Amino acid sequence: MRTFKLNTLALAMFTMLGAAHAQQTSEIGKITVTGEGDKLGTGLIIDEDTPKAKSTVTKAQLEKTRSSSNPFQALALLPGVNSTSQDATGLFGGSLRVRGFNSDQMGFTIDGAPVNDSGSFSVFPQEYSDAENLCEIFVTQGATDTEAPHVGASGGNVGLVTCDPLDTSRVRTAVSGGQLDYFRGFVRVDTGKIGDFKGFISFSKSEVDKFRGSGGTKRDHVDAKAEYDLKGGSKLSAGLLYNRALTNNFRSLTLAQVNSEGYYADFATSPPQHITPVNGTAQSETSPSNAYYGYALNPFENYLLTGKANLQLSERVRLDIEPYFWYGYGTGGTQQTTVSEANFNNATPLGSQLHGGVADINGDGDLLDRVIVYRGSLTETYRPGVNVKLSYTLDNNKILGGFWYERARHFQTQPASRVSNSGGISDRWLGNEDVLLKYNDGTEYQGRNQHTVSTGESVFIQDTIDLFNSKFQITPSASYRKIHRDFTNTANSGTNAGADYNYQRDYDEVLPSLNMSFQASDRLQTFIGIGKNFKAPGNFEYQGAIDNPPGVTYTNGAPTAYTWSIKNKATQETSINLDVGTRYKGDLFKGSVTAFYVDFKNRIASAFDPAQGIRLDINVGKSTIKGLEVELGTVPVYGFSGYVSGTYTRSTIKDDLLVGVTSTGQNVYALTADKQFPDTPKGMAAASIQWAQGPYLVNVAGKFTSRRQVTLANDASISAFTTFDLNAAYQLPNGPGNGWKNPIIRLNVSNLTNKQYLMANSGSGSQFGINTALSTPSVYTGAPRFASVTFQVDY
Amino acid sequence: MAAPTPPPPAPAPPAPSRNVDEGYLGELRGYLNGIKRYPNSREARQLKPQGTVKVWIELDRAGQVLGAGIHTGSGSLILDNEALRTVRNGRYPAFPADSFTGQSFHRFVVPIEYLVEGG
Repeated sequence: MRTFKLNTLALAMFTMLGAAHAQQTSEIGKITVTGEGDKLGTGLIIDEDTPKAKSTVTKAQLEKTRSSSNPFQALALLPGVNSTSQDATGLFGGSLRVRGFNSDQMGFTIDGAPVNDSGSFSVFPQEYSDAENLCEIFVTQGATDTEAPHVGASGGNVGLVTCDPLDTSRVRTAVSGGQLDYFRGFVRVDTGKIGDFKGFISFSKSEVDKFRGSGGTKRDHVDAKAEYDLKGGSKLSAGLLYNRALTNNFRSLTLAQVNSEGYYADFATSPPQHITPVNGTAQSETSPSNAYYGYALNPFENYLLTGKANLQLSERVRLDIEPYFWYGYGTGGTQQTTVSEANFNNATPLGSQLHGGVADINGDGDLLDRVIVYRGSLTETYRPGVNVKLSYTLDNNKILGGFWYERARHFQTQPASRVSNSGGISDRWLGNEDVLLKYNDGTEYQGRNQHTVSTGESVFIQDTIDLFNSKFQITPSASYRKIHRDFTNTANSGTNAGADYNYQRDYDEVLPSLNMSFQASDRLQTFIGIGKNFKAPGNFEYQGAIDNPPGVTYTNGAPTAYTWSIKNKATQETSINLDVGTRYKGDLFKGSVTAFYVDFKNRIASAFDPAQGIRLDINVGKSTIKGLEVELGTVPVYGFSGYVSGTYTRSTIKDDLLVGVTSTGQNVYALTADKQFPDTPKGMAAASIQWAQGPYLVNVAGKFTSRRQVTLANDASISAFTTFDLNAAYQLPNGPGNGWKNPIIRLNVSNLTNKQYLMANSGSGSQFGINTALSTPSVYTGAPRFASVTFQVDY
Repeated sequence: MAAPTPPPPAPAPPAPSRNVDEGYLGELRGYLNGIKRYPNSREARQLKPQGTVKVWIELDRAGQVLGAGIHTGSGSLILDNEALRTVRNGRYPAFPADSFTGQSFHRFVVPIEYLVEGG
């Protein structure tokens, strides 16, 4: 009874309290946030609160530009970014520099999987996802993200994020046509939600001719993604990217050649002719200095498989396991060259040559000739890896830890194939052993034959601490990164590579970072971030290590006496990146201003090694990069919206570079101290203005790039230029009933004013000449005005 | 014995006050719509979580934040943290004099739904 009374009393009090509580609680009503937040018309800026410099291109921008565009082009308007494309479509690739860091000094990922070349860290943007399937591309201009899986990024990182499959089923088709016989067909099928599963697959076929010279490119591409929702915040997903392209390269030109041969100069349009083979007569063919366009090819095939298990283990604990596998196969550059048979200008017995010397190439029955062939630097990569991340949230702390591991096998060979007088190639993909050149003992000829196992690892931990009601955020982090190179050279016909050797080397570094942000108001944030990055040297450092003299002694075609030593001793380059910035988010516009300073140690550059008396990629000591980046974007007002960005960059080497020693023992220096680093414009500015109303969209974007140096000593440069692009679209009415939907016709015009400009040939961050006396810089000419039209419709 | 006279019906709350309350709620909704955003960490952009977080926020009459918390989580800590960050960081207007009368503070509950657009 007493219990009843007490319980009754307690219930009455609880009810009263509940009523009082209900009285002081109100529901505001649902707020909905979409993935792109409150969309800005231009799609070139998003709300950002990362405590370091970061810029993002969203789908709103990607879907109005030409669908064949590659990620380098997509990033072009962002602050800090200096990107060029070999042609208007983006199908031939291009170059990218951010704050003076070349793309091979930055880390690239697709949905978190690293895609830089595992040997050289090169990036080939035309191989990656179709633009229709990308939801955003971001660039962190300075420090690499702590959890990003890179060992070759002394600069920042670039991430491609693909769109998820749709919840509703849909078939999207698009067809494009334009100048230079441009054609592109695209189809994507989304299954929509089938229970807890959804997926999509897309296929595209693209082709276009070069704007100078003969030839063009053909590209077939598949993207696919599948997701299975495990509920409770967990899901499983898998992705596939497949790309196969056959591309005629553009010829790089010296500045003198641009003047003498013209803006549209390219490779020769007719193939070199063979000398009629005659048994017993030495025929010596010479490869013309300007190669035939058909022998300057880039056939390449690659695929990327990604898997993800994103598991919410408890309210506070999340585990992400993300395995991936990259495969790449192909060649590039200019393949036209000559190869000599065993006894061309050579009386050495066959047994005293590698594999008995090169067998008969031209079929005349003797071994006396030198013959024009197609020889390509073939690369085949098998690259499995996994990222594992565990996050734990405890009060105001979010702790993220994890590891990355990958084991890349990289086969780099240089087989050769016979060519005909009509320009035919026995095997342009260089994979058919039956038709490739052989040595006299039947072994396949190789101008290069090396195998590198690159084992990359990192472990990292990061704590994001929210203080003062999230107004102040501090993120200390540290990662330990290591790459182990296991390089095996198999005797081949390359320079100083005629015997076997194996070289192993580790590069590792602990990389701490500290990032802080302060939310002064809901509109204003300031941030400061400092972090250390590192980049291991490429595996090409270990090529050609046979000492010569004395060279190699062969017995019965096998190397029996030789010595070797790695000439390049470059260690990893490291950089300390400091970003200080502020972001403003107003009702009409949002923007940011970031000042940056990079202190570079052991920057890798081509320089003279006095110890060995030769020029190599070596560490050239200190250099600094400092500058300012600004970006600002508006919301649409009466359909008008705009975006502007500006960049000032000063990138200098601290000291003069040693380039040689005189006969009297005096050091000779190139005057590189305080000179601007090549292909790093001091000033860049970009603007995008858009009007979108109802079914209409018109967008004009312009980019100014100031003068760029093309040698370390700044004794040659290429002029400033400004280009404009036009994107216009009109959405037609939907078809009757449930027929076709969202039909859009789009016009894309690149280089509206047909501006002629030059682009630096900067294949690598380190491969610029010191001065014009030591090497002649080369450039590419910019693509002229190019227009294309696309029609897209959904079913 | 005559049946007892039924008590007079409770007087309706004064209409102006409820309207003022509604007006303030609308103001808060508009404000939160202005500062909302999808989380933009690298993790969020790769995982792209979706869901609804019900958050509460307690304001005093001057609009100062007294406290905030999760009423119902979304299943994603990324979204929960973002929703909490959103309401905590707000600068809210003071209550109108004739709203929430007799209350020195008031608790507001808001469901924030995060959606990701597919491709």
